[in-house]
Amino acid sequence: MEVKRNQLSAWLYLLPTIILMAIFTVYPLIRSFFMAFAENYNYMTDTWSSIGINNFRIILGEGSEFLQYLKTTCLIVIISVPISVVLSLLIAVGLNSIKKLTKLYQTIFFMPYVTNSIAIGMVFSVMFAGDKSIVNYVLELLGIGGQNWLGGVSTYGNHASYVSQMTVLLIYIVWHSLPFKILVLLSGLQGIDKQYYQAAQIDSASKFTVLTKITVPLLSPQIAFLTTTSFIGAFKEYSSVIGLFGAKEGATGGHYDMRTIVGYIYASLTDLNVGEACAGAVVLFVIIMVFTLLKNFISRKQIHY
Amino acid sequence: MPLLIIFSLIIALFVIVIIYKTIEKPSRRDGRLNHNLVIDETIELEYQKQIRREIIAKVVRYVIAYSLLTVAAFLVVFPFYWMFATSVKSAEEVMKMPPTIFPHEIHIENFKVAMQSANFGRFLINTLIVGVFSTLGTLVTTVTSAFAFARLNFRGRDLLFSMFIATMMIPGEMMVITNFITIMEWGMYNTYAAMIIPFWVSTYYIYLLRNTFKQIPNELYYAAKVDGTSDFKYLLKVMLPIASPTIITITILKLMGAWNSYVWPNLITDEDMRLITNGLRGSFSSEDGATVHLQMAATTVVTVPLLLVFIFFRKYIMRGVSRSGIKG
Amino acid sequence: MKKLLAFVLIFTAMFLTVACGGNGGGGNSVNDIPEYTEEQLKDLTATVTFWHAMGQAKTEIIQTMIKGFNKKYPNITVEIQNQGGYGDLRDKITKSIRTGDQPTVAQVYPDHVTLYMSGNAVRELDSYKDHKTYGLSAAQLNDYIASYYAEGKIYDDKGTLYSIPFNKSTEVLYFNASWFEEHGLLEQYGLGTIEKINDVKTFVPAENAHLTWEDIEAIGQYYVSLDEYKNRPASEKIDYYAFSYDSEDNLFITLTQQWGGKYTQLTGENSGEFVFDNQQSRNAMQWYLNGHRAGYFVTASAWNADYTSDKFVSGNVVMTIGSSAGCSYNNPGDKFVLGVLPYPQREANIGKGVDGGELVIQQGTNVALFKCEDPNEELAGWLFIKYITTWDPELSFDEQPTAIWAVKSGYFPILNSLMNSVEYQEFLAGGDDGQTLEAIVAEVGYAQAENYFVSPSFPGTSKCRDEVELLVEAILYGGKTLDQAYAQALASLNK
Repeated sequence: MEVKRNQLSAWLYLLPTIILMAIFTVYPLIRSFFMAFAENYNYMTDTWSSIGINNFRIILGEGSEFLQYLKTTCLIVIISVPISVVLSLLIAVGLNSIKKLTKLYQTIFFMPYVTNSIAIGMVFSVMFAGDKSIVNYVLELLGIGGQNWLGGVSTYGNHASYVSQMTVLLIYIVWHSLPFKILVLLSGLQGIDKQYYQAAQIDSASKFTVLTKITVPLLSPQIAFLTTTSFIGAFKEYSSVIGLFGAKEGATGGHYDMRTIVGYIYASLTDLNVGEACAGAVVLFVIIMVFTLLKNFISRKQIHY
Repeated sequence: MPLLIIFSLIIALFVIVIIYKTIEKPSRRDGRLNHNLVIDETIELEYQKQIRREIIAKVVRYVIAYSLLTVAAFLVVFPFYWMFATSVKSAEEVMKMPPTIFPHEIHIENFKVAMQSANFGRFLINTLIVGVFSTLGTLVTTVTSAFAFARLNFRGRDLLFSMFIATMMIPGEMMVITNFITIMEWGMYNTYAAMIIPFWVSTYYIYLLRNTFKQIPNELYYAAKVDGTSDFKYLLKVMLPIASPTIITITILKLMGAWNSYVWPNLITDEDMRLITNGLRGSFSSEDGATVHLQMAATTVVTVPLLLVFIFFRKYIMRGVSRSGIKG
Repeated sequence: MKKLLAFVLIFTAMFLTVACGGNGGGGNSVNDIPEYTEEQLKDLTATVTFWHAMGQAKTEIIQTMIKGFNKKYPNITVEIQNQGGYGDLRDKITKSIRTGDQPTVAQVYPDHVTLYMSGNAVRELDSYKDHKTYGLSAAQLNDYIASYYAEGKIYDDKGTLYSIPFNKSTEVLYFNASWFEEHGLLEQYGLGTIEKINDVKTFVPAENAHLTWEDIEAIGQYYVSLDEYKNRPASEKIDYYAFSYDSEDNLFITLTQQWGGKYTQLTGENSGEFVFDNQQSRNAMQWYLNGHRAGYFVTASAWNADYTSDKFVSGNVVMTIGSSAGCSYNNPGDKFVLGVLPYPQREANIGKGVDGGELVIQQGTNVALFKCEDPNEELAGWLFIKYITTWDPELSFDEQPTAIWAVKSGYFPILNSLMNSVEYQEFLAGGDDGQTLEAIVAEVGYAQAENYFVSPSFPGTSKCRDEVELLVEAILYGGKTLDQAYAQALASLNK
């Protein structure tokens, strides 16, 4: 009797959550999967002509725009993730080796995390855009010479190349993604047994050897976790592009140069191309699924180790 | 160029002071140690040499560490500084070449102009309403489900929990499309409810709180049961107070989420119902030099509350973040 | 493994459930028009919702018109809703069609109508127009300025009527008359004297004054040859141009056709093709690009802005083409003397008419009727459309809805009778203070009315506009060749 009552009350406690999840998570998930296969879906009348893979054929077909956006997204992932992991590792090791002002530095390095990515994206665009921007000024001072980073008429040429747009975007993404990584790596470092370092000291190993032979291997669970999660995060990059470039998702004169997969999903949705939006979402889902399984696989291995 | 020199001088000075302060103590202690252990002059000499070598190595290491950290910290802080500096400049000063690092005049009225030109007051109220009510709802669902998962035994608990966890890895974009249609069909377009109710459940917070609940010893629960305390009363009177740090973490992160949300309100509302971030990007879309200072003033208004919250609740925010695997 | 299996099973089951529901949702059926006598009509009770994108100030003008409407039909309530910009209005309507909450009447662009038609939501107006009691008389039909009225019939090759003209504008050339005077250009191009432009505030320099594209090019070349320009440092030169165009899509569409090319064409009912990739269009774009490279042609996007007005008023640009409805933004106040001219044509095309490439875009929206569940609401919506767009001989000029709208909003008259009325001509001529800028722009616009063109509308034309805007930007600011830019635009459209 007691057990049964307990059963019932447990489900009662869970009821609001389950109802909300059913409506706003489970149903949409299935529905989106379905609409990805609904051909010629008409949003206004909620009708479709047939079920098939036409939407996927459109977005993955040769020369499609989606593939271009996928390429941009992959570039963001491949470049930003290693750079941010290495940088945050260096900073975390640095933070771990000092004794004074640790709190101050930690606070500073964590600041980008608590910011609004649209707002600070606008700050970065002010820092880079135009001939009179602070970044171009400093580059000129250093004798490197400025760049037309974000488009518009400029003495550096009217056109912001794909590379220069991508550079600004990557700098911003790395800047914004450092805090979380530093935090995770620092707590990992603090958990390493001091004996390892003492042993290394006795062997009078160089600092670099210590870093590569002791610190990195011992941090490998955290590094693996960070790499996979930031792969997932970088595949979903969107608001940084909006912050930096606004609704054009790239420099003036380009063709949505910096649009990402998520950007494509929202653009299609706005155009009422719901079928293609859902197909794009399914592709993203599959990519993220692969990395999630990879992450789980790696972390499971780590537990046994 | 003088600017760069000044900056590097400041940084160098800074580094030297820190290093001096750091290495002062151990060397004095070592000195005292030596004094008590004078046995042989040659050993003493050799020992001092080694200490000197060690100190030099230590100094070099600190110089490298502090310079690296200081340069990195400077790069992290600079965008914030540039935002503040630009936000108080005049329209003419913004366009000046070379750019002025320190504003010549302080134009506080930029903030007033920016707030008025973008209907920010209304956006602020909207954001607060949405933030408060979505947080309240989330707390209710999170506490009840975390309690059920942590304390109650029922058939299918583990399966259900792993399904909950599984939803964490689904990209939100999969849901947005249909939720948008659902909200439309329910006639909730352009309402507060549309921005609140879909966000009443967060599996990550359930996961977070369930883990906190699990750490509370079982004995407390059984003792309460013996006393005839109901589950609900036990939850309110015992578990919630113990788990209050996690509750605070959830509240702060959720409020920050509302403050930063852009995509969903952009889809589901227009004009007066938008939230603060929509107002920011929508009202100052032009990068025309004429409005840069106002744009940065509005950006400052959005950023400062976040930084303040961070400074006061640093511990709670970091606690929540370090366990999340989703954000990055 | 068992968990996974359960998950997959549940998922599949729900997938099938979702797939079975939904399909086959039919379109809205068309109501029969209810029959009432003139007398019964006065007692017709219904609520009409009217969605517009005219902003707060113009909402009040519409309210005045509704008061007049209610004198005639006291039991019809008209609720107006300001939905923000045109894009917002369109998005809001598509969303509302899905849930069946569409307005009774709304402001529409032709490509919007095409979109709503795919949602099966727009009521054809022929049956109302031809109705013996509520219809439009031949005189009323002929009263609409022909090119405006024609825009309601571009949706199929049968010419079915779907909309009635409401607010109309065009593009005109604004120029800095003080600068022209300083350089002797007023005299050189026969634009009259600065005193005339300034003293009576007529803005229009002289009878039949105009500048051709060749003239504008020559002035541009003169502009960059001036020492004042040449001596500027490179970083400042990019802020100074002789001529700037607000809307890149209009630039592309108009110039393509002035140069003898085609933009889009209908191929059948509700379908058409994008034919803008032709030599003439490329010549036009190459010509504009050359001007940009030489330093005198630009568009508003160069400054990441939508309009040139800031740069024009500050004197950085001396000629600009913008919407007649946006004239107040180009008013420099006391900074310099403003002049307004008709839209430039090519020298060789003058006098050849629209078919000969002498053309200028016609802008602005129409009003359309949406299908309603309640036939009385639909009829009331039609009566409202009829009231706000026709001349009622029983009313005085000040009570005429079309006159109230044209005089107060600054949009062009949609009726010949209004245009030719003594009162409207007096408005144009102005009082003791001279003409208002709005009146002048209206006059310039009316003078070029016979050169108006409208592009046909079919699915994709809205996207086509976006694409040609990106095309112009890609050529001017994207470092793309013409080949690349045209190919990109076509690829995006024909995917």
